Amino acid sequence: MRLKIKTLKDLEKESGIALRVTLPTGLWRVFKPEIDHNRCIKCGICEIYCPDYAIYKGGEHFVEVDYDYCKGCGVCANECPAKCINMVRETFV
Amino acid sequence: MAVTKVLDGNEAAAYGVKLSRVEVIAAYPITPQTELANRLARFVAEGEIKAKYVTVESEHASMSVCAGASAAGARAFTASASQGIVYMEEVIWMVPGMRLPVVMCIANRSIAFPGALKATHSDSLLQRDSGWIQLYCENSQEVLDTCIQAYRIAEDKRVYLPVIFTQDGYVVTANAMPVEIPDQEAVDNFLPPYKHEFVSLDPDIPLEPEEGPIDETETECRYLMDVAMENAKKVIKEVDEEYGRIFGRRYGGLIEEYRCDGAEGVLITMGSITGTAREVVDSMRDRGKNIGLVKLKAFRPFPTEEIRKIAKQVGAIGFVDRNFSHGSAGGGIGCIETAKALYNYKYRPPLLGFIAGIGGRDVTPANLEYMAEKVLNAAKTGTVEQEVEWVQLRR
Amino acid sequence: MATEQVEDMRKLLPSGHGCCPGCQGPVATKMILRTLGRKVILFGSGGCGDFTPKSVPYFGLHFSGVGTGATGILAALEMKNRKDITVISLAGDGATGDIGFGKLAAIAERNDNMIHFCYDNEAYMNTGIQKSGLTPFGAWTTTTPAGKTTRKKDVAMALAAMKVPYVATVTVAYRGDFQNKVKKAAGIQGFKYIHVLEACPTGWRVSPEKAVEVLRLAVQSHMWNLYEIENGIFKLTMKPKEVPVKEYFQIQGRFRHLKEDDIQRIQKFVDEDWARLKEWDGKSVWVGTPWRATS
Repeated sequence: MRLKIKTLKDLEKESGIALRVTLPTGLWRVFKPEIDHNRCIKCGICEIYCPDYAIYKGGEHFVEVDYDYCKGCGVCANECPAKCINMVRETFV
Repeated sequence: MAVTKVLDGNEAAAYGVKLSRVEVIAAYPITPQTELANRLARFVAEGEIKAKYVTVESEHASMSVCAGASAAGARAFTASASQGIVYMEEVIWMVPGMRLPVVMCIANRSIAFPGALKATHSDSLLQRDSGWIQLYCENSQEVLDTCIQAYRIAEDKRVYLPVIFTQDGYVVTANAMPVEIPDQEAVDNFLPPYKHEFVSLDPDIPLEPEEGPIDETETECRYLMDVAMENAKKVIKEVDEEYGRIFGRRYGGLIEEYRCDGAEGVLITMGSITGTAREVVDSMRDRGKNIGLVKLKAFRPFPTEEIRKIAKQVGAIGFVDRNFSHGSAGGGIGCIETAKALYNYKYRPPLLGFIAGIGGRDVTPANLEYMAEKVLNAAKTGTVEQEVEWVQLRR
Repeated sequence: MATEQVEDMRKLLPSGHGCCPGCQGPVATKMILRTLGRKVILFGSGGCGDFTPKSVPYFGLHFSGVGTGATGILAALEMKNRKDITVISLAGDGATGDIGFGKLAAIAERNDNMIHFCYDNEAYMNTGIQKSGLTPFGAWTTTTPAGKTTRKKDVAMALAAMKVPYVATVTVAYRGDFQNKVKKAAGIQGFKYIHVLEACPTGWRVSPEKAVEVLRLAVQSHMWNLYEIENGIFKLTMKPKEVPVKEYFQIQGRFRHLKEDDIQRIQKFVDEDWARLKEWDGKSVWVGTPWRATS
């Protein structure tokens, strides 16, 4: 609902807690998709089926992954006809 | 040109809706408001009101339609009564939270069970916590005037809360009296077109992406609605003042005092009982009994300051409640609110609660005189014999 | 209604929402908005569909009043003479088929000019996977742990019987079919109903990466059939290569408890339904013709 509540910014200012941020859903994932851009056939299917709109066009390659929001669900890897996306287990060292 | 016609409450409300240039009407028929829904449909079909009349399948839908229409920028109106109000309760709570200025007419009717087709104020008083402003009307003329004022109050930038205006089922809705219908141009000058300052559903207005879940703000939202209710007190008085100046009829703002000067005791009434009470007060005054009358027009926001001013100058107060609250702290809802208004105040005259008119039972002059005598007695002795009395009980 | 292709969907639907990994709800919304563009007003009603934040105008009311707020919005737009805005109503299967079914029937009768999308994930998923009227026979849910004993409520055919101008069933896995139907619906005046089957990896107990594959299997095994009913003429839009229902059940945890004779029974239902739909293909499913005022 596009209802601007005046106090939201004031609340943030007072409390010092960010209340209007998007969820950092990139932190949810265990596996991370890695696209092999050499084998990519540029069909765009991964971009269509990403539930988080984390695969986007217009970056350096035909498609890019926004790792800030990718939840690692793996739909892109499963649907890619060229099977050029690998789900790699992420490690935080 | 203002014309005078003989109208009952339903027809007067329909004329009020017409003069207010309402754009979306969605009213589901229910006794005693059916004639209002019919009349509005006829007005729209004949082209007298330029509005979209949505034939909804339930009251739940009628309020949803009004909420959607109001958010999208159209002036909306709906009407209902007892069972319909209870059925649309879910949506009624959403509308003030979204600060949408919808206006609803409640034709007061008893809620089942036992229920009746006639007047009890339970259905409108049920909304007292939700954030709707409530204005009680005494007769058809007041219904028409209040409808127009309601839009002006609801759409005021300091308020943006929806408004309920009520009329007692059958007593007001079906009783006709001469009503002056103001001139459309004069009403247009009084009531400007509707444009919400901060709610819009227009895709042409560029929006930033809405970010993340916000569930931390209910307290602030509700507090701001409280602030808006406080502002509403001022706005209601201003609107009534201006309406009186332009159209010649004043209703006193939040309350109307009738012969309270020098009164030893006052009765407070809401709705159509006021009409009978005026006659009783006149008759008793002629006999030398100093009784006064306060007509409570606005129940929300509750006129605390005005009641306190009355309490300061009288010896006893009797609240005539056309409602009930089973298991309450003592008496009907009006009595309890008055008690809180006066609790921390220096002048706290004896407060008597009367319950009368339930199920549409006619509140006769004899009943009112009985209540008035009780009040005057309390003023004389300074004590309350019986805190709550069900006046018309057939023993 | 104007339709316009939108390339960068992130302008309309920003990321960072709270849906489960692999949820197909946001994908459905993406496909819809990609076809219809940004001159829309969304009217949403509770359930998982509400999680997706949107930067198109979005009005969220209670979830039991499916679509009725959209009627109000349409009335207001008519009074303001805005013919360029498409009004879309989104609701889950619980809202559409159970609590709001009466509302939907009334909107169908009034023929309000909106498209209603039912996001069917086959249970009340947002409150924790409880059975809804649209849960399929035999499925596990928290309120039917031994498997649902009644068949899926056929909301699409019920509305078709009410003679609305357009009814279609789609799924996310067949995206060309989905987008064609949305485009067709946008060009029709009156009430359009599009029923989207979408996978819920959490509730269906399927691995998230197989979310789209399971929908493909649903259509191939005829547990879900893609058709459209335009002006009463029934048309099957997908005659897929067929697989037995067992293959559809195998990758989902919610059907794991089904025994062999249950699976046979379901296969029989599914075969009968598919045969009946093939009979109807190309014919009218309306009883009589509707008369509607043209102005």
